[in-house]
Amino acid sequence: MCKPCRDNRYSLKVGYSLKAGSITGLLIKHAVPALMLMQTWSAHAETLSVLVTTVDGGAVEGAVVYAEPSAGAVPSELTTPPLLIAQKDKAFAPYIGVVQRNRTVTFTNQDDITHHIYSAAGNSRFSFKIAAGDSHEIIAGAGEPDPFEVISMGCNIHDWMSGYMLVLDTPWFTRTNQQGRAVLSQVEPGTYQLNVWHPQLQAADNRVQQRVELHSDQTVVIELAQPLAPLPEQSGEDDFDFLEEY
Amino acid sequence: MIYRWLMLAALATGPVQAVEGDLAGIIDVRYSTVDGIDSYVNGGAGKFRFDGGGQLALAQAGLVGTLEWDNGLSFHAVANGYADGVEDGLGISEAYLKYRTLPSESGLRHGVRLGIFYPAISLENNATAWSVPDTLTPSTMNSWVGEELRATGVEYTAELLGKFSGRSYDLKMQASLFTNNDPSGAMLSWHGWTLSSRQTLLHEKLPLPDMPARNDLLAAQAPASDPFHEEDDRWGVTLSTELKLPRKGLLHLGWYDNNATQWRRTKGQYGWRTRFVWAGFKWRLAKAWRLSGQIMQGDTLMQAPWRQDVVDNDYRSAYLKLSWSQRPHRISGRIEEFSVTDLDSTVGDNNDEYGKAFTLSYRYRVQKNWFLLTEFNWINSSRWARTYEGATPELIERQLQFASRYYF
Repeated sequence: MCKPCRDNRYSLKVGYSLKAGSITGLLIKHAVPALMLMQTWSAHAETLSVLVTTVDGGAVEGAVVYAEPSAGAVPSELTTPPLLIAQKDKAFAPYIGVVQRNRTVTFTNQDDITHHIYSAAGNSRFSFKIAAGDSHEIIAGAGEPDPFEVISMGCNIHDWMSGYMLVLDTPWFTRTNQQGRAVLSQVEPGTYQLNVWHPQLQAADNRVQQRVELHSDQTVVIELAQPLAPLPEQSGEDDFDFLEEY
Repeated sequence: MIYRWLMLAALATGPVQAVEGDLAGIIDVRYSTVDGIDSYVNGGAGKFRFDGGGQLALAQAGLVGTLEWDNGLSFHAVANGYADGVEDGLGISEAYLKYRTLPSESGLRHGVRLGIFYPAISLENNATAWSVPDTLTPSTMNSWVGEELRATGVEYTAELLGKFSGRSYDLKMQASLFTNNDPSGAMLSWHGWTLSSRQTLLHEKLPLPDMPARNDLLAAQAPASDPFHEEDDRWGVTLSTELKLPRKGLLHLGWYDNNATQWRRTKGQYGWRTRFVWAGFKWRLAKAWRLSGQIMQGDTLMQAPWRQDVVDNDYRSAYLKLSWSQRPHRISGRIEEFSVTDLDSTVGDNNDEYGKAFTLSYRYRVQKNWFLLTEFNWINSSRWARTYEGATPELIERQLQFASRYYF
């Protein structure tokens, strides 16, 4: 699976585009901006640590954590890496992708069959076929801006395939690890709306929000009333590879 | 007529959209040894597609050609070839245009098929070129679907995918209007239920068994039935619905009425008013175990041009299949019961039948595309009409098959 899109190092937006699919291209796309960032980012930014647990203290893994500044715009030069979503073994990998608006999302079909990827809702609906081994690029949130754009994705050929893309305006997002921990670094001091989102989070909009005043490095604990619902199993009903629709 | 529509639609969309072509297929080479009598395929009274004795056959060479446009439109053509020494054949079995939308925000998806296709009845035949993935032979019920049923017309499908609205089920409704299936029911009446993987190709005619009525009341009947003949230009109808609980199972219900005029006769072919309902289920008992079954029940009526009942039958067939799998192995067992009840008083054409069947099948996956299968079939049937050909009414037939199946 693609590691760079999981990592959440901030980078400066660079004004070039490279054809996806080339390994060098991907390296440059991810590594170079990340390196540039380390040198240039201002020193007085803080670290916001978030621990997401259930009421009984269990860690919640894989939840998206993001901070939206309550006042003042997000620094425009601060951007995050593009998103890579693979279609592998007739499943979306990763199941949840988070990306900042107007960044590139590259779909790569690693299966030996064609997929027909579509988004079911949202302001920027898309649909395209992607042949075995091919890739396809889109721009995240190209439609009417929505600060919280959840894009539910499917494959019109393999109905069990299910994936999510969350398009955000803020660059401060990441996902909780196995211990339920998420770290947002390089956050400017100020007031933030802290959000925890997961498609299987059992709350309104699958989201829990909390206001945070950030002055110095800080840890916030968010307790979910219920554990995440079971993830949909992304595999065919049958182990036979040559089924047709009859 | 249908071909003309297909051509027009293809031409209209072809130049503006990118087209992707794909070829898939199945090669099924099979050795079978039959303890039974001559196959129904050639007009015999045997229940299997192979004659008594041992034979090596190209049991199916199926080729599926697909053209797909980016806008959801696709064209599908299926050719099948058989070299089995009983009835060799090569031809088209299905050809249709299909259009499918994307699911809406609420998960509603529409689809249309236009052309020649199988009515969506079988829960067994869901692999390349209408083959059955788990067994070499479909049940008696679906063997009949492969022999006498084919829709030439239009089918509309509405699907509601539950995942978009938080529902735990998917719902599907299908309706079709079709022509060219007016003699369906003739072979079910005249040779009864069979246990066979032989699909009828669109150009094929099915030889009738011998029966005294063919020299009498049925003298005008052609020596072979053309199941895809159109008698009266009236539309037949199918309606069906499916409730699916993803990863658990499904329920399927349907209704078929070919709406044929039962006293019409053209080119030696009669109209058979054939109607039936069917119901089926699939259920995942445990990770490795699946249970499935289907039942079909209906009637068929054929009359002389002066509207005297010639054949009036009720029929029913049901199976239950249990399947266990652990890669690379799959074992499937199926039990069946079937009957035809003759309600008319035509002399020399007794269609009464009652029988049971059992199938045990083992599939081994050698590679992703290559499978070896062994299957034992047992069918015990009681059919008076067999005496017309000098056989006994009570008959147990057995078949052992070894197959190599390659999918591409």
